[in-house]
Amino acid sequence: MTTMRVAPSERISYANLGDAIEDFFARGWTDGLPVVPPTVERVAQFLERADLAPNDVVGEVPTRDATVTAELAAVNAVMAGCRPEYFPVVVAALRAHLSPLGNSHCTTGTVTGAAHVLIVNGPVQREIGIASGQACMGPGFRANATIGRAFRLTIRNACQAVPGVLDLATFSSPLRYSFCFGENEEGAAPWVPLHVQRGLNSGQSAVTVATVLNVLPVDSLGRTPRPILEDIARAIRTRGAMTTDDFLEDNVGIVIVVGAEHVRLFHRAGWSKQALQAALWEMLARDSTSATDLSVRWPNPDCLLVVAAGGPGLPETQVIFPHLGAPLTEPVVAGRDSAREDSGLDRAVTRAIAKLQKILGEQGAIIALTEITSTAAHFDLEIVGVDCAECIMPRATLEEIVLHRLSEAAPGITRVTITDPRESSVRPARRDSEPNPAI
Amino acid sequence: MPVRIISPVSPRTRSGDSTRTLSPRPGTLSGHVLGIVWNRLGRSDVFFRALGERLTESEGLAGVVWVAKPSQSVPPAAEDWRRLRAATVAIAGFGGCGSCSARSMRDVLELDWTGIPGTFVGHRALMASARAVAELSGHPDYPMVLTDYPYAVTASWTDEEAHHLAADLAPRVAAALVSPGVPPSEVSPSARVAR
Repeated sequence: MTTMRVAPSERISYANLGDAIEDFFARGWTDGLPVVPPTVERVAQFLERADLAPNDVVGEVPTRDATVTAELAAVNAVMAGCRPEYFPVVVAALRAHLSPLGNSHCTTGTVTGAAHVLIVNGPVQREIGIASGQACMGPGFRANATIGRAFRLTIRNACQAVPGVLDLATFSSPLRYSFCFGENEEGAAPWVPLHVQRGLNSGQSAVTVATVLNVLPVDSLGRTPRPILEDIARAIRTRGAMTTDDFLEDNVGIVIVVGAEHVRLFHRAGWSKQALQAALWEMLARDSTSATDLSVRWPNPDCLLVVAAGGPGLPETQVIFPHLGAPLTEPVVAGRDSAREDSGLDRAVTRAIAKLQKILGEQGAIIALTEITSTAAHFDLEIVGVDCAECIMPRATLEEIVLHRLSEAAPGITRVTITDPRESSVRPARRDSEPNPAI
Repeated sequence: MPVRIISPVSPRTRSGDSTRTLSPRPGTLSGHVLGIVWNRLGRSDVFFRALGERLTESEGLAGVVWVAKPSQSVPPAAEDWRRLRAATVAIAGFGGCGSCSARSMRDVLELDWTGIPGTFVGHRALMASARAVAELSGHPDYPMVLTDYPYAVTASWTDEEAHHLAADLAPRVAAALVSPGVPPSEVSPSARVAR
């Protein structure tokens, strides 16, 4: 991580906490709700929890000359009501959003009032209590509410997205207070979790940040996958969606949050996430037939980010339409546990092999980075939902391709090894199923 | 009990940056090459092309470099920055949406810092974000040429409206490129960036 020489943030003394809370309102430093005063001691606890130095740079918004340091992020996380153990999730979300393809300036200043959704995956969900089931998108869950709020307060305070200044939303949106939930990985098993589909391994924690133009609930009483998907496709095609942008190129996507009742029906029919993505992608890409039945052609099925969440009850799926930011997945790093995070190597590797992951995904596999040093990287090949494991590229070929892809992104890495379950005596368990061809 | 807190806003670090000085403006546009950085909003391409033609005619421009950005609120692509080196004066816009206005202001400022004086062209309804970026960038009174209603903010104009607007703004754009531009009184106090 880059550390920058920046002027220290101002320190202010108050007679008591109540005065601080009121003064934050007066200075325009809140989202309209009271905040927890970010005392020097509390901020230090947050930084320690993420093992970050105050001047470590989390990200930047160049158009605004805004640099978000770890200290600024921690200050805003304290204000939002986070606990220290939530802070690494906040940092990961901000890293994603503040990377160039997150398009922060555009998506936080727009007249459309676009918001952002944070989707949390991996062990951190259980560790900090991220809700992913009943009512997970609404109030009542501290981790969800405060992580989403910390993200927004940082955008407001550190990145100057203040209404009437650099936030020129015509109406704005209540989603801009906080919008964070987890994927219900346990309830959706054997579906492959979102972060694994996007190149991380199942033991890692991650947050995926996507832009939100609006959210559309799709109630479908279909009893089998295809009628449900036809209803979802109809809802999207009626409205249309932004599927191309010369800046984002293929890094576009729409989030499909499949509710528990629908997940159950997909499972019953033996449909994997990949099968859902492929079928829905094809339905969306059909030619337009009228002004209210528009063709919505995403570059590939992986542009449909399928997430399982929500509780039982209504047979409903939520469609989260995007604004002009790429959906981005960032690992959650709790503490500086290795040199790899310092150097940003793992993120460079993830980006360098993104296209390869897409090709592998089509073959029913992914490679997950498990170890990295300055000279070597090791991956596990994970085979998901295919009968023809031999159809996937051989290990030696994969190693060669990965090494080639890393030659620019991480030139110091001269050795790539991959553990291939096909070479062990035990066949990998199928984590996912193909669709029932009868449906 | 007394408490000591840390401010949640970014400390400003770039004021007085010596690499950010504005370029001298020419006395006339005659013989100059105008860079037009179009942000793709609505039908503002019709407006900008008409504006370029009018300025060529009325001011004797030697040429126009036309750049279409890859997306409304991002900088021009690297190749387009290179093409813009052929320009000797520049305009950017049409603002038209919040983040687009602000980014267009930054585009023309960045050109100005590299020796190509310019002006921002946008809608008065959204000048707050453009002015905020000008102020954050160290030039709170940077020239802006603004239009107003009845022209739609989002540049959803007919051809006729776009041509009308070009005719209306051409003299003001020319004036802004050869003089300091609009006076500071144009700036609404509410548009100032909170410190």
